[in-house]
Amino acid sequence: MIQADGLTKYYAQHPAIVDVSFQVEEGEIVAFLGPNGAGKTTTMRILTGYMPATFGNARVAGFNLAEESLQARRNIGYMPETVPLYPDMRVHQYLGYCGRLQGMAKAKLAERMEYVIDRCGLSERAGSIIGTLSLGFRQRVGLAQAMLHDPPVLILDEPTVGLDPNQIVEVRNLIKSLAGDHTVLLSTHILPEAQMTCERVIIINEGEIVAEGSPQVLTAQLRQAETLLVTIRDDDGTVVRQIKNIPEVVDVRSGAQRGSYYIETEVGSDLRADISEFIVSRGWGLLELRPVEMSLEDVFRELTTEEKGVA
Amino acid sequence: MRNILTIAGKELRSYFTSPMAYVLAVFYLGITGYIFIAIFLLMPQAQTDLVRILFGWMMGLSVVIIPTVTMGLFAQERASGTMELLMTRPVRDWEIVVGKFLAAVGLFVAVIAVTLGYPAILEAVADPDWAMILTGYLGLLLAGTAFIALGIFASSLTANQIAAAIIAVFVLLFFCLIGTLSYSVSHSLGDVFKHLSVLENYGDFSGSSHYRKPTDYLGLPNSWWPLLLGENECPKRSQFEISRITTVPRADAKQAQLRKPRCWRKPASSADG
Repeated sequence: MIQADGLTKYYAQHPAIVDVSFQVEEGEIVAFLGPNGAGKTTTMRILTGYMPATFGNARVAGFNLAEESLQARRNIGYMPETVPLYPDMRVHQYLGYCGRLQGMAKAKLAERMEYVIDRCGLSERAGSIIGTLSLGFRQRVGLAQAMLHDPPVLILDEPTVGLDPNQIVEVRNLIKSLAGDHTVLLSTHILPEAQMTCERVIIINEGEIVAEGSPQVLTAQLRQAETLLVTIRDDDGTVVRQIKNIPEVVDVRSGAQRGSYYIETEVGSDLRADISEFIVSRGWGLLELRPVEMSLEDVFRELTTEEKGVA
Repeated sequence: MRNILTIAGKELRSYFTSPMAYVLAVFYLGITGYIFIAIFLLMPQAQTDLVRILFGWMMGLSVVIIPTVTMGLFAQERASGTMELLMTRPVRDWEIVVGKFLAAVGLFVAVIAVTLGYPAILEAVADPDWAMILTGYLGLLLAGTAFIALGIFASSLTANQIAAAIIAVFVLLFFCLIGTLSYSVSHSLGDVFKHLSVLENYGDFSGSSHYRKPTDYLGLPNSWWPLLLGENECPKRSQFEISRITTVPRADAKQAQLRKPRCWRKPASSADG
């Protein structure tokens, strides 16, 4: 549904994205993940026809963005990073305007308006002036606008920014429920969000795609050690030294709390039994022992932070 | 076409849902109304020129109000990010421009339509020269649309509305004042300046009811600008064919208000002063 082919965009002499290529299949929900300034918004602006790429091409819903821009735009629902709202309009006026610009027929527009107002939880505020709405409601209006014409492709630039935790859950569920009928590309720099809502993650950094795959695959690929978290009651200060002496233990770091330690062991090893036995035998009082899984956050940090001297 | 009307309708509605349209209308009608009453009641000897002076002021005020009408059309969309909304709809770029242009023209027409009250009052008490009035309105409309086009261009240059308005006002003033140069430079260059000048061309519409070369009307418009500056301050007044002042003898003036005076008719040759 979305096919980016060697997209490169220069702002004056500065390249914002370089040779970005990826594909999103029909019905997939894909997260576009990257730190601020990585080129997420630039890529999305190119895909929605807002601006042309310097080099490269893209197809959305089967239409070439350079040659059949209008047809492509008809098939895209786009929610930009700064929600494009007219503060002096009422919610239903605004949605009506968006629908007419999409070329929707009157009856269909009325029907869809009712649907998106309900789905985005705007029923009580449909008659409100947008300028009086809270940030969370504005975000929902932006989402309603993108879904209004029932586009096969939804491109959402940071859809949960500015929402409170409950609203974030609502919006994520809403996006998840769109899977299957809609192809969704959403950008975020919030990692748990990508992990929770998306089947596939594309990580972009400094304008280049650095990794692509499901969150599970990505974390597995980049795992360099198994990590165990242990917490003990009677810390006598020799814990680090003594545990390090166990074979297959690579490193021991103290955790945030008193008596807690992260123990890194070799990839593929499982030392839970050995370590618990070791701690009990020393009489330290084992309170907790559990494996720590590498999160997407670690993967992300791994990929997007430059080590000194590497670059 | 539907897209154009959608955009024009939305812009027009937002003019009228904000204080914008009303503030402009009050400003425009207040000043033109004051001039109308002042000349009509207080300076009866100047009534021959009432229509001309009135149109001169309407035109001059347009230089100021039109940039305030057009300043937000694109600048605001840029500043608030809604440009992204417009540009990613299945709407052609020119449809957006034409839609916004029509909205600004609509507001301008609505405001100058109210000024039809002035000729209506004249018709009730006198016998105005309707040909002159209609050509005056035609000229105002053409000049206004030209100003709007320029104002929209200025608005598209920046995301700052105030900057857009200032650019538009200065460029419009430049086109208004360039005509004055035409009297101090060589004849051929002077003609170029005259053709460029909004005011030079406009005089043909508002000041005189006889027509010049049609091509002159297509450019921006003649000589009402000295009215704006104050007739007495214009050193080259004799060169402007419409700046002739016809005086009605004071004794006749009172009568002129009672019966429909001849001075509202087309400026006859006898009126040449």
